[in-house]
Amino acid sequence: MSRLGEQIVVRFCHNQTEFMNLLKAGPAALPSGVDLAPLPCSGKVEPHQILSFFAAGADGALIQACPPGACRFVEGNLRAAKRASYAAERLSELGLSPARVRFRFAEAGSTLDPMEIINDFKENVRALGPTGLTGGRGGGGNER
Amino acid sequence: MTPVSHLARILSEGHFAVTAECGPPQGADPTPLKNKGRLLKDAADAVNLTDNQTAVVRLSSLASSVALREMGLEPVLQVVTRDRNRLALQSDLLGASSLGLRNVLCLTGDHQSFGNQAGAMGVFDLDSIQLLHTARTMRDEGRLIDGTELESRPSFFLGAAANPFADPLVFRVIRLAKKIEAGAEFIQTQCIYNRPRFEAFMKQAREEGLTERAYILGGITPLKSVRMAEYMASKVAGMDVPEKVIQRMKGAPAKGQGAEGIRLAVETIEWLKELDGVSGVHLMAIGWEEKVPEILEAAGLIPRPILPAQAE
Amino acid sequence: MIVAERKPLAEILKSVAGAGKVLVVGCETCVAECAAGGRKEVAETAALLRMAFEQAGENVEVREASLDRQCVNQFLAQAGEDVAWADTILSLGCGAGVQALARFYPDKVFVPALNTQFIGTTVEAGVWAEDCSGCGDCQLAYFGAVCPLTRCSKRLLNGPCGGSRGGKCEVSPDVDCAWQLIYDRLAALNQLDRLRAYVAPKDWSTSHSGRPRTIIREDRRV
Repeated sequence: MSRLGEQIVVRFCHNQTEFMNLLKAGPAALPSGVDLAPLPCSGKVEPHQILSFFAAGADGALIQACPPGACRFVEGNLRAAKRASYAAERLSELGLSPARVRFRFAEAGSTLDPMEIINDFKENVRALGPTGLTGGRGGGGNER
Repeated sequence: MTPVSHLARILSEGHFAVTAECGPPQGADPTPLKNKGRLLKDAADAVNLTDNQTAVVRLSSLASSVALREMGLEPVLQVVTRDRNRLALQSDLLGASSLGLRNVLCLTGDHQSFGNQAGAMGVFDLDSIQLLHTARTMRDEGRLIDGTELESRPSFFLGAAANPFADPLVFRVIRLAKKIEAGAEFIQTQCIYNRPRFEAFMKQAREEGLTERAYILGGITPLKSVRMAEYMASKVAGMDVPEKVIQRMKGAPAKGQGAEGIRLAVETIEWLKELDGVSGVHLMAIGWEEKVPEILEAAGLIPRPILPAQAE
Repeated sequence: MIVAERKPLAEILKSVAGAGKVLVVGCETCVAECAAGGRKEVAETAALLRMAFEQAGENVEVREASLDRQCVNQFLAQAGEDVAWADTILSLGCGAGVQALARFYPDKVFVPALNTQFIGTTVEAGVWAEDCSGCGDCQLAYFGAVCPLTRCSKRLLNGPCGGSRGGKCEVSPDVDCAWQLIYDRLAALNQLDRLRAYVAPKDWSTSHSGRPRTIIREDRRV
């Protein structure tokens, strides 16, 4: 992984067609340092996962959720918003900016430009600089 | 039963009694306390000494009571159950009686989080009703609450506080009854600003026969200012200050608010004197003790009756 | 369940200072229910520790494990390999769990990650409240199943006090007045006469005040 201070992890609800199309376009379509993957619902995201991304060397985490009221699992997106906020607070306990976690609701009824969203976030994260963490020894967890 | 204290005698002889309140100092020198005592000496039949009121550490009510007694005042020893367990409480009751203190007001006490020792353990081994029961058992049966026989019995005139204005409202008279059942012989109420509510409380108390069994003294606290009225209305638990009263205070000129508060206090005392079942007034002018004689004078309650010495 | 909360990270870091191999071990019973010490919280705590150690330039390995319960020896035995590997074990169990682990593995260093607080219930998702103080002499039958010792800030048995206001305790508007709750329940159950009865002082000898307690059942001993 390149260490330009802009390793970002992007997770999105697979219902977001534009993001799915970007994913299907393959890794070459993505800017460097972007780890993009779908979720069955943004509500699948949990704080410990977000924090593990950072422990493994991410400088930012972006979660893209469906608009409020449009979640196929009713409230998954709303819960994800709270969890992202909680994870961001935990980062500040380490002296890391909570802005490194960005949670977005998609805008209802409009077409997304995922590249614009990702690049915009990358810019913000670059401005914050690298976290200085690479994952070190014993990173990644070996839970029984 | 023969009255055991001056206050008990005043009440049993049918005089409209006057009690006042005195907060001990936050220090070891009793001089500030004695100065307050001097102001109250001929104005009240008895003076309450508060016990770490609002959970702030002060010179103990027991020591304070002795100090005032030595000046010729009649103390009412306030005892809270927040700070001592049943051993200490029973021991202190014996101690108080041994020092000639007779009037004891049994209270639970404000929660420790209000005061300056917020990390302290709140003891609450007994509540106020259990303390009344304990003191009465010691006095009338000569026993501690575990059944141990005392070598000699203490002598007390027992009191309790009542709050006609706290919630649940319907329960307040039941609670008064419970305190009287447990041994309360005199009651001092929370300060009165809401007369209709107090009247309703007294009506129910009379109907339950409680005014035949205990002397009820209505609480009065003169308002110094609009700010004090508003503070009490919103920040003090169990206090009922109607909007009408706040408006009245607001209607007074800025420098005249205190005088208006005193006028209101005097009017309320006059009203209490006429209220069926009320045996006296408990004047709590904490931090404003110098106004007590003035208020009582205006209410026609000074001079206090002087009773001939009682045969022991 | 027993309800606990994780300590602030700074406090945890201070207590594991000097460690080279930290095992973070959770419990899947009470503390998992109150989101303080289950598997997910173990992962979260481990991630935070790894980041903190790296920031401090400390070369510390962190492993994760979780046990069904930390209060029963048969489960504690399952952690043997991980415990042997570690030089410091950060337990996300309640106070009983931490101590049980330390008794089971007496040569190892155990450090608590949680502040254990009370016996309580999940009122709703994300909200836990205290219900029982373990007094050892349950009298809930007489108080409409609302415990005056636990839910009244002053432990009154002949409550309420004069500070009850709008159904709330004088200590905080976030705290219900237990005696308002008791009154309402007894009124609904037509048992208000219970409130007139004098309740004698509590015998605290059955509570923790008496001594640390042990229960032995000979019929269950092997």
